[in-house]
Amino acid sequence: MERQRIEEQLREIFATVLEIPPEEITSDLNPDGCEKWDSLNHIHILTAIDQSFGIALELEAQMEIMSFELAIDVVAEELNG
Amino acid sequence: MSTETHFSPEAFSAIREILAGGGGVLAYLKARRAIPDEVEGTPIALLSSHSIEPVLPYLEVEAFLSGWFPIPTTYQYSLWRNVLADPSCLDAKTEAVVLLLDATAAGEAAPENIAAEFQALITRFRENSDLPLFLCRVPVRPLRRLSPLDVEAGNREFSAADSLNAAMASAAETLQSVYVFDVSEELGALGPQWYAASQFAATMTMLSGTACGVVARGIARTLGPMLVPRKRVLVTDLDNTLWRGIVGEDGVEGIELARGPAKHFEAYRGFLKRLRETGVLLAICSKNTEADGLAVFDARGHELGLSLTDFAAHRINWDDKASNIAGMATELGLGLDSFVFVDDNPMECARVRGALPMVTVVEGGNDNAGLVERILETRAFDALVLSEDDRQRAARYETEAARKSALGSVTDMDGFFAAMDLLVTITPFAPDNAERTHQLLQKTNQFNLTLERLSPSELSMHAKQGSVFAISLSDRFGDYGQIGVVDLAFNAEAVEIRNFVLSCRALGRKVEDSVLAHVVEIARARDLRHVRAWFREGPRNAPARQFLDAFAFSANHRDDEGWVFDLSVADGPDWPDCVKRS
Repeated sequence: MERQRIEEQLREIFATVLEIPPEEITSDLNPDGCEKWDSLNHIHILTAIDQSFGIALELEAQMEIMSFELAIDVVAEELNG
Repeated sequence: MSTETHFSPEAFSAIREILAGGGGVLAYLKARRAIPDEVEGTPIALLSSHSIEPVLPYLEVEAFLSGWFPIPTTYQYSLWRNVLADPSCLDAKTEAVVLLLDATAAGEAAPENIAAEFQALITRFRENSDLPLFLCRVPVRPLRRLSPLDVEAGNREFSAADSLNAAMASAAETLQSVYVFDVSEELGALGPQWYAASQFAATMTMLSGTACGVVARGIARTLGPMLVPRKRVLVTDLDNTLWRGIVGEDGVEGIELARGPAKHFEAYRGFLKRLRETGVLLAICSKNTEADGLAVFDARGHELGLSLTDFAAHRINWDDKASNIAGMATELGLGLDSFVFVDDNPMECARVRGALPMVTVVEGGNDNAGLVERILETRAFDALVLSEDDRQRAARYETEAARKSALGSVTDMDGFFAAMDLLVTITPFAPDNAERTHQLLQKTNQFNLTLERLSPSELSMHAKQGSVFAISLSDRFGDYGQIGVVDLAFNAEAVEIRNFVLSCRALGRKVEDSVLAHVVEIARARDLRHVRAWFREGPRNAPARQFLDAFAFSANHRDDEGWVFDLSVADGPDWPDCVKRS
């Protein structure tokens, strides 16, 4: 899957879970700079990634997603190897 | 107090539409935002042996679809034992406690001790709290067997789950207000991925996204009937709904009843029969020549599995269905908001939806495929317990017709009542009438002074602070069971009737006279001069107001909650001569 398609889908996921407009999601968006990005919403993001892309991330990969950019990297890595 | 206005059909359909696009976490989060802000919530406590927080947004949506809204308190997964052992740490407003365990909850206990320990804990909870407790049966997590011969795998898991589940079943049987519910079938249907193994290790969240939805739906539908009155009547169309084909065209022998393309019709009728056994009334509304419709019951009743006497009312004619349904509501003495209507014709469905928005409408669809599931999904007939009284009610409506015609010939009212052999029994609130008492307060709309929908915990609080009585009635035609509740409080000068409800089946049989006489006797015994009754006007409780007028209560004052009516004990009625008491 193209990186741009992955980014679009992830943008939709992050916007819905974190309740922020898609255009305000920057690549360096991270838990420290976003109050809504707590451990519970982290789980919702992982669930949405699982459901949207059909990939169940291993624990290590789950913990790597510490910014929007890293989320794209992790999903792209998982999908495209 | 009920907040039905916020649970509007529009809000339901908006949420259903969002979820129809897929039941993933994003859909639930979006649906959550479509719930009106003003909706009033019910505080509940969620105890679990795994992290349950991810379930919360799903639960809010699923509960809303069941007609209620949770204000949940969750506890860290290691604390469920502590909270059960000491319920005083629960928030004082909590209305119900839900316990969700997995097999690891048994800890290191020896298999033979698991059940005993758990049961002791639940018993201790019950000794210290009146709150209803809902226990979710422990699901067995998916196994990884090395080969089919690897039968040892999961033994510990199975035995722990079995022990806990057996202890739950026994607690529900022996303890008041303990209920067991089960979602393991639905979890299993998701496949092994319902269990989020990698998350469990890291965060103790056991449930995958879709499993969160399943568990949430289980909780929502289990607690719903405690808070929302159950629908009471299912009105069904005939042609292409109760059977396949059109009797007016295909003839009595031409319509198909069972098997092959008619298999879903057979299943639907079986479902109706089961609903009837749980106390739901069945009725028919069909555009047909009456003789044609009835001929099917005459000639093929045995194959149908339903006879005409299984239906409490029917309208088989060419009139507008909405008017027919409204007519049946009057005939049965029930509000339209307790009706569900099933028809294969989208036009008829739209007409009834438009004219009678309070009626739940379910479309039959193509050859009834999936119809039973769609009816279940409305949650209209979810019940907390299928009480003995529910089961008998359906039979009772049928003897009511016989009762009415037998009495039609009597015109002298006193002689009439004497001939009835009326027997009114008034007994204090107790565990064996608690469920029925709560149910009557929940669903009585006509003879209901305040329309206050007490929760089980509020009800037992009232019984402790004052006196709550269960009222039962029998007459020469049979036993009605418990048909009413009166809820009394006492102050320095008056007995206060905080709530008084009577089932419409019992009205006009001197029960209200008897109950008021009983209240007056209590006032006299306590040397109180007044009987005060709280009254709040609602859309259909005119009969309750007429009761106050008939006994010359006078309006005393009005406060935030409504009117307070007053009757001097000296003017109160005596127990009616024509009614026996026990």
